Amino acid sequence: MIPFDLEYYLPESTEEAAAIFAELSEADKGPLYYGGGTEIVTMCRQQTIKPGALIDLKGIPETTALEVDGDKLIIGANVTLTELNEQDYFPLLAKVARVVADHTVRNSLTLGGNICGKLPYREAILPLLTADADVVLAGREGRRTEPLEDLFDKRLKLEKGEILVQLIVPKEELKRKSWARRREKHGPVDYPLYHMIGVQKKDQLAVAVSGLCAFPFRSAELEKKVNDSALSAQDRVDKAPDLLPGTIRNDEIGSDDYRQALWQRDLAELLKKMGGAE
Amino acid sequence: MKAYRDIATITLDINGEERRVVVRPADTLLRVLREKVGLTGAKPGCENGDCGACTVLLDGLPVKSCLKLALEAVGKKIITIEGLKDTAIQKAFMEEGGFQCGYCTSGFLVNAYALLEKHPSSKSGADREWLESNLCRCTGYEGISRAIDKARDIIKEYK
Repeated sequence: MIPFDLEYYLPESTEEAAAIFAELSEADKGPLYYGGGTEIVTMCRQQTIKPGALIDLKGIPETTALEVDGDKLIIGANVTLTELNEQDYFPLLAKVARVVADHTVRNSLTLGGNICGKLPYREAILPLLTADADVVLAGREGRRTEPLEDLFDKRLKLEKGEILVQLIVPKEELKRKSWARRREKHGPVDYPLYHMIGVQKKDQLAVAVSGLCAFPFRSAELEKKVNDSALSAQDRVDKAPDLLPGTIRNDEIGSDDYRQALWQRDLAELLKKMGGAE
Repeated sequence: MKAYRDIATITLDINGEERRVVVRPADTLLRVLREKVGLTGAKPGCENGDCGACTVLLDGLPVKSCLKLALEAVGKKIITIEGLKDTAIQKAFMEEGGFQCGYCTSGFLVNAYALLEKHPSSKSGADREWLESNLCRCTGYEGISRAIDKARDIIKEYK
């Protein structure tokens, strides 16, 4: 039960959504955009957030699109993780989506909600980072399309009131050779110790990781070292922790030493499996 | 744009019947089903999206009703455990002892019903993945697993 009152709006366009967000902000209602609700409803119940209004974006048709248009795949921000799991366009995204939360949660949990949520994992963003996806955003100032890598630094950097509408993936990125490893402490329905993916892009490996640090990342410095053919595979693995963009998490799920040891072992396997080793 | 600023009367399609209810915008579907409509089959367990005791079908998809606002269900078809009377899965749960205290049973049964609708012939490997959405603290899961296999046999025989 949510123990406080709030307002609920169901706009049918991004323009309506951005306008009502501005109006509610002006009125100090602290509005939040709302997708599948799995995180927001829980946080409201716990009263860790107390929005005065929720603006449900699922009524905006373009946010539920999932289609190939010419040379790109368009994924609406309100496509659920179950829908992503069941699509054939982008197998790595299907594979990653399949292990987030559990099946009935994934029937509600949206891609946009997973990416923009407050949890540190946000695993669904990993294949989009390695695929050099673009993001389509809409707000009071209109609409813009930007490279995801320019806007994602620990979190997706949206302007106030801006809406994540779609993610666009170049078609040539959809079926690249890839490898993924998710480590949990107790069982598959659990937050990960970390989740790492590797994607072969021509002669380079792209690597993205969630759960290891306090945010998901794809790091240019780490990739440079991972792809440094002047070094042995073991040297690359040994030096990799120094190039992480944050400290390794140390919490009740796993210590930093435990996470690092497992992650380095899996990084070595990634290099071996994907041809990045000597 | 639909806007709900305060208490509102909405119509929900529950188990094939239209039910008019007065809700707060903040009311979860679980609470409305139990406290406004009197359908207490969906259970409040963790109310955190973990246990699955509150599972209902929304347009055929099993979802955790503790994580849904009632307003999100307007215009959708809701099926609760009360709407699955005399189904093969209900019979199979009884025959195979797929429960002990029964608190989790409605959630398991609703989820298993949807599983059988989507994967009637088994062997897809979906059973475990789907049922990981629900927790039982009494029986272990053998009886539940047997009940699903049995329900598949019943459905096959009926067809």
